[in-house]
Amino acid sequence: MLDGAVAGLAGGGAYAALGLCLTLMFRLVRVVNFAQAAIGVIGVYGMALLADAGLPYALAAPAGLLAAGLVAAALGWIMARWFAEAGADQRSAIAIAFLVGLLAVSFLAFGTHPRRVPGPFGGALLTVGGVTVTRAAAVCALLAPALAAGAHLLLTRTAVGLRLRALSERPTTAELLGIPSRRLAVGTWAATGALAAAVLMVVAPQQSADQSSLALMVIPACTAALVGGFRSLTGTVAGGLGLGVMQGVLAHVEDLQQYRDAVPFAVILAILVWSQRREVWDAAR
Amino acid sequence: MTLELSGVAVARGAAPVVRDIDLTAPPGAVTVLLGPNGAGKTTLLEAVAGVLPFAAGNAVLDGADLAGLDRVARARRGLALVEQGRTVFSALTVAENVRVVNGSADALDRAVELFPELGRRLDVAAGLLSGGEQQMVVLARALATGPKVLLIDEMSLGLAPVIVRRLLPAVRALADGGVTVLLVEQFATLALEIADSAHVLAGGALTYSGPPGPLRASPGRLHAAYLGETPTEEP
Repeated sequence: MLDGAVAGLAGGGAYAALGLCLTLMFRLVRVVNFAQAAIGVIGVYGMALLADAGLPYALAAPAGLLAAGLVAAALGWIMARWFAEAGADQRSAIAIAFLVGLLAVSFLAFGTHPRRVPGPFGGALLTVGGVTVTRAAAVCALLAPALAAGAHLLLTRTAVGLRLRALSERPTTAELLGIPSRRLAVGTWAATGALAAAVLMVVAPQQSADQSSLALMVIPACTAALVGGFRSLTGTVAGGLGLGVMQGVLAHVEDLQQYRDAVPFAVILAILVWSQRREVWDAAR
Repeated sequence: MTLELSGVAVARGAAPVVRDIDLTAPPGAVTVLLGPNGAGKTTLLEAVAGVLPFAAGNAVLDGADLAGLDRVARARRGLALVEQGRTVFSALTVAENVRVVNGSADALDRAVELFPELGRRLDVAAGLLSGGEQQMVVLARALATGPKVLLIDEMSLGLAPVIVRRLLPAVRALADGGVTVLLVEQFATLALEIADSAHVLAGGALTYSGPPGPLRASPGRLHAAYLGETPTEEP
């Protein structure tokens, strides 16, 4: 079971890191970006295509990150140009359209068959007491807290972070003060898009790397973000890692392993029911 | 910088709100725009700042037409709108509210110089301040942008007259420093005390444009203008 929990850290770290991207997107540009992982897929598959064509990994990976960043920037520009005044719900609905569109583009560009994704983090890092920790699990588990710490520092210690926080609270007021909201929003999309690609580049070589599965990692990532209330970076990391560990443990329990993919939905449902309890109780009274 | 509005009309959706507005706000002066609720004062300021489009007419800032410039570009030309409702960034501290538009220590010093009471509260989240202090932060933040033209919309809203009496001299001081001030205010009597010129907007059109003296001297004139009547000379 401990083996399962450690194995679950790889997935959990990815959920947490993608969840951080979602939390940052929601806090800063008011959208639940359901296309977050799909943007990453473009980067991963672009990288795999270039690697298959003979480009060294050290060049293919940055090219993939750049591709994901550019695609995300284009989507962010569309959102900032035409839907700047729309509410978070409308913008999130548009993000679902982006998800569907990106999957279609990905199938057209890369074909429908899963592609072998090269990665530098294969193999075991260490074995302690019979429990093996893979390199991918270690990188993923460390990546999410590092990202959270980096994002916190960016938002609290830099001029750009200060502007992003102002923009997230009062976009119109920020613009009236000369803060370039569109440029910052597009930059946020691009940065989180490249981050999503980086995360998927770590996990894709370790698991089934078909485009739909990778793109739908946004669901457990949403679960992680929901644990943090789409506000807390720490809560998101804890939610993602916890979810991964839970799935890893379930995978080792024979009677329950078939339900492991239902865990994110169960957690989402539980959080939503819990968060609505006061309204329901007030209405009942 | 001189702000000149010529034949300006603004609509919200399909509904026309203001029409035929001709107004000049010279530098170093406080130009007061008065009028009853719903007259279109906020709409006019928002259009000048680029929040709403003009339906007709144009705004010229020191000879340059503002048409085609979005609100960010207008802000960078030196136009600052102090919106209604104490629009602080509530999660940011007082110091951060100023630093977000101007990171220099000088900007913060000037803010404290204008409103010494903020000096003790620089590290407090702006959302935790009193209404009057929040309005001081908003004014200080606008000042930190280095504005040439300051559009101030109902800064007294929800504040006690004693606080307004504290804020209006600060606005006067900004104008005396060379800033062009276009002030929309409901405390008409207090606003007229610091005004160099006055306009009254009623039903979407200007019903008085001229020196503030006659409005100060005769409340009847002011009331008539509020009711949409063009004031006549008193015998």
